[in-house]
Amino acid sequence: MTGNLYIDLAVSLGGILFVVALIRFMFADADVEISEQLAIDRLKFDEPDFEPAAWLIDDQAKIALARSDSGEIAVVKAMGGDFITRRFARGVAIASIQNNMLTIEPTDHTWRAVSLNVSEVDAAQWLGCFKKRE
Amino acid sequence: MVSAYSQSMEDMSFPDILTLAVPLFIGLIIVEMIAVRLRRQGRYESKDAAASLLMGLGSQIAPLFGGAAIVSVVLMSVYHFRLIDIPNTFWAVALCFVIDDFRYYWWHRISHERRWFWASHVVHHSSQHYNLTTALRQTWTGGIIGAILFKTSLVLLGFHPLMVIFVGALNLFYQFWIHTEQIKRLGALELVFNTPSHHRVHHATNPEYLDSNYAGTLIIWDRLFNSFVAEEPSIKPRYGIIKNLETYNPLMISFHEWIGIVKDLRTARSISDVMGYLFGPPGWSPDGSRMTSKAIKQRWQKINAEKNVPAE
Repeated sequence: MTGNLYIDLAVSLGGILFVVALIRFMFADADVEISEQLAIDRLKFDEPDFEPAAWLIDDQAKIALARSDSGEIAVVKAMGGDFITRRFARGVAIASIQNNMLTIEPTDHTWRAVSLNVSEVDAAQWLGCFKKRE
Repeated sequence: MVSAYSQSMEDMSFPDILTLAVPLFIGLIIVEMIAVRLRRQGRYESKDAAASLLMGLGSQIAPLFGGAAIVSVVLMSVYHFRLIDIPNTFWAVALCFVIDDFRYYWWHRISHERRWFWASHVVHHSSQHYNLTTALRQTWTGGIIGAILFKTSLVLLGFHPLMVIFVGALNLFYQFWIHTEQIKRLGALELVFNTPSHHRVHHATNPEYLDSNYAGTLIIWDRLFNSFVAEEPSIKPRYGIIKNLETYNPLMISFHEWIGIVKDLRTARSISDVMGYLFGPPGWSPDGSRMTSKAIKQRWQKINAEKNVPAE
């Protein structure tokens, strides 16, 4: 290192860019599509006592929503080659429906809102598991 | 107690081993990438690696905002009250390294068991990948949680602060290479040293593996204090944290648990809530609605027990 903070910083950022570019060159960025089976497998690991009774999977296969008989909700989201999951008791998460699009607001700052298409028939059942937006 | 400050800084000079090792780190990352590609075993993802590398860079810059100065002042002040004078010899450095590794074990363990410390350490566990870039995913907030207090014991014994800082860096240097899935088992070395196999277990979120293998260099501490768990070939580690983050943003990775603490403190209704949110185990909540790792293990044991009950 040179002892000059700005030069050291520039060299370090250059090194990071080089390594990241090499990773992009050598490995295609993973882009997992969620199937019901993949979502079940992931939930079995993250929430082994959650028993899904109904499923919704979005058109892009990036978000899966599961509902248990007791009205608990589990979300499985694809993130590159990984998944993140969240689980809420009935009436904890806030959701709304507009133009057949069910939108669930995040319960904390570590994940983002999710939106899925839902038929009119299913809408009431799914919405009943959430707190409605005032 | 030795009151005179008889040993000058000039007597003690140690290389900045982590800075010197950067080219080696980059070289080994490239070697691992080639191994992953050729063996089709392990994973690399550019966004995850970029986040890890930026966290590593940030962790080197963060101390410049006052932390490094505070560490120097605290350690040098404590050194005035040292019990004995320990000279700068090879054996003194070796002894200091072993004692510091013991110190690291307890520091690391408390970093998993108490939220105040976990809020800083969680950064290192926040990737769902396990490769050499994960080793560099380091905290930016280590300076504010009181880590330095754990090092004062060595200085009080008589080890020079620069020696203590050097062996700490040496320990981190050692830990770099164990963040890989490319090395399986290392025979007899597994008995004494922390190895890739032992550290994969430490980074795993499988209930069987949670809260284990806190060692830095020597795994003997885990064996001595009942926190050792061996990697089982039938249980593939799944890496990350209990609630994985939906972001690669280094700022959010760095501060998400601190934000969580502030939000929780705003809902606290008693001093015991405040203490629980700050110093309880990660996942603690007054009503028990969240999962601590102990609760996760208990849930897993209960489910396993139910599975093993023969059907009538």
